[in-house]
Amino acid sequence: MSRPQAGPRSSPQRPTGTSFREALRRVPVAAWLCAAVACLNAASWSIITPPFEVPDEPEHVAYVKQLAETGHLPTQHGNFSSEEVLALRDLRLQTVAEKPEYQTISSQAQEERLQHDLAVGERSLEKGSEYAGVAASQPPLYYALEAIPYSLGAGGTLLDRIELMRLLSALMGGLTALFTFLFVREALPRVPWAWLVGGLGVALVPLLGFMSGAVNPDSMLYAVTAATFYAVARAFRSGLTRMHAVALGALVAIGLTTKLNFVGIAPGALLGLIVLSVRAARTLGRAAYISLAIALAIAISPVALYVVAHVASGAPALGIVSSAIDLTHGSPLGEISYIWQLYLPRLPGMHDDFAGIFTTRQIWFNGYVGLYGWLDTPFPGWVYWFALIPAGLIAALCVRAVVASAGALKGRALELAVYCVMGGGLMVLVGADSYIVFPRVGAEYGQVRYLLPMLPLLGAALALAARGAGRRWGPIVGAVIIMLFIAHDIFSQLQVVARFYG
Amino acid sequence: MALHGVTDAPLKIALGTGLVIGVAALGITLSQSPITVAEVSTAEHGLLGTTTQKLSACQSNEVLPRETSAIRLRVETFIGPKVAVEVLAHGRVIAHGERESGWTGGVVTIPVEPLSMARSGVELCFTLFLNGDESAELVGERTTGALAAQSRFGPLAGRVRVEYLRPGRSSWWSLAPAVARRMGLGRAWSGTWNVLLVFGLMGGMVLLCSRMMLREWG
Repeated sequence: MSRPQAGPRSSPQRPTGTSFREALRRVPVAAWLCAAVACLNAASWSIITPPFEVPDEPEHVAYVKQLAETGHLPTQHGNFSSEEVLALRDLRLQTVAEKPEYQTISSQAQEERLQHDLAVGERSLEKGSEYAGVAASQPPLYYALEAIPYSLGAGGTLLDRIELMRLLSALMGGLTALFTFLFVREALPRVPWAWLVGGLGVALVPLLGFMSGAVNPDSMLYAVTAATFYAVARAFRSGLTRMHAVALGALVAIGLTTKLNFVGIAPGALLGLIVLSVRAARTLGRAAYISLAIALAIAISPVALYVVAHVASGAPALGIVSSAIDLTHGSPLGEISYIWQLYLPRLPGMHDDFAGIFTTRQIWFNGYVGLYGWLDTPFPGWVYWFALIPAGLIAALCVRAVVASAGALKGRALELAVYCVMGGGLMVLVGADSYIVFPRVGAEYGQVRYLLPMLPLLGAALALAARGAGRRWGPIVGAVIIMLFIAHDIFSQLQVVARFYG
Repeated sequence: MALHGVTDAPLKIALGTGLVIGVAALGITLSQSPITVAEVSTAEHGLLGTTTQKLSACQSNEVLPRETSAIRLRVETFIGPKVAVEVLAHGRVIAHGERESGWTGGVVTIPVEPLSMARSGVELCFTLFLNGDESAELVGERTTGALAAQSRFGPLAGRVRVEYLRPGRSSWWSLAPAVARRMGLGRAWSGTWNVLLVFGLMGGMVLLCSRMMLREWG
């Protein structure tokens, strides 16, 4: 593979040292600025989105409360703490969520009651929240990190603590943009000017801002997955050293302790590790396999600990995952057909699981264009049709760039296969989980937020689209793409403002 | 400075044009009126039943306010089916609309052609084109059979909650102070200054993006 060309001010310089501080110093300024844009964006979303009006935020807040105040993990049984119950009641969550005809509190009297009850909750001697609903099945790393801002805000009300936790999520949104920039830099080393399109484009994705402006482990999952994509790309570019292998193994371990959805990403990342090790063994010999063994040991350590802990306590080895496996129903072929149709048009011979619905567009594309709050805040219908125009143009430019560089891509088939397995694994996981409750619910996890871990691939596609416009017009098209993403983000925020406060 | 054959000027023109178009679109959007609820068939939110099959039903004695631009039905589902509505006066269709499948949530909004005058005593008919798999819950007020919505299989358990929507009289611009005040309620640090903070964050973001593009490509 050819070395990167000399580029603008953010051109890559390979770190020769190995220290973390040195590596940080070598991160281009443009990457940090992309991170700053994503942070500002998520911080703005954290302010405009009312507390708890993000899917499952009450449960995630309860998890942090339990962990921070008691040091114990929550369960799926019991009730929210009285402090949270009062806040949920005064903020009218049951009335407002999923019911766009109702809005958040609007009178001074409601505000005074809320502040009074928050003060009561603050003085409460009750510790923790045993119940965390759907969040209780998730691993604890994100919540443990969120316990820091939660504890820092211990002198304030629950809403103060939620806002501080949301700001930590916003920082994670920044990391997602940063690693996306770095991933695009490694994946497309010959078009330095296009890296910014990928990094900034992802930083401005409204759904990233929405999720990173909330208390939700998805925000950290996006960041860890982006870092994993970057680590894989970097190892493919410069070869797998022991440090790379350990870093990749550690990222998989962090991902697995962040959110269960990383189970879909992990096989692809581990495949990358194996492919890279086999390749490195040609020059490094046995040392490459020792690095692989160390990395695998690190990567699977959370799973091993999880199994040991459950077996020791007499629970099923895979804990709550076991019950999900038990719920699987139907034939494997039926499940494969369902997963296919969840994303793509039905093939001949398949039973029609989504009659009358073009899932690619109506679930995924429309969901990406805009669906906020508790999936109760869409744009007017014409917006989704209109969005097909710029999306089609970007896709066409991207295809043009891919076709133009088909020769170079052939030499990177394995690397591309690894990215496909990472993304495909996540899609299969989402599909398989949705199939558990199908047909009672058509696509329970048919929400774009579950696919946002693939944002680095979107970043690469945007950079390719700019490149597809050619050397002369590429930066202009890149600027247009970024302006488009800014407009999309601002109008998405306005839509949320109109829904909750209009 | 030239980069890849592109000089500063076209880039600045592209950015400037983009900003002007964005600001103009924002101005036009905010000069429009928000959609308001002109009429609600019932304030109740009771569960009337669940169906997985295609369902057509009509409920009489509805009021269609003038300038109604959309009708909102309370139907809960995850991936909504195609929905069609018709409003009939003396058996004649006076308004109709369709919403394609794929919507999600607890309500479905179907755009209709506005009428210049209100009509009372009309019949609202709706069809949910369900395919036998996904289920939909009808929500509204439980009533006696005579008052309930009627399907060809007989009366439903009551009347579905229907909202008739039309553009309000005030523009978003004139509502801005009220919206800003509401945005300051129910949050960690109460006050209208939250809106200014959002403006600052978004303004900083746009500025930063523009600076970066000029810095990297200019």
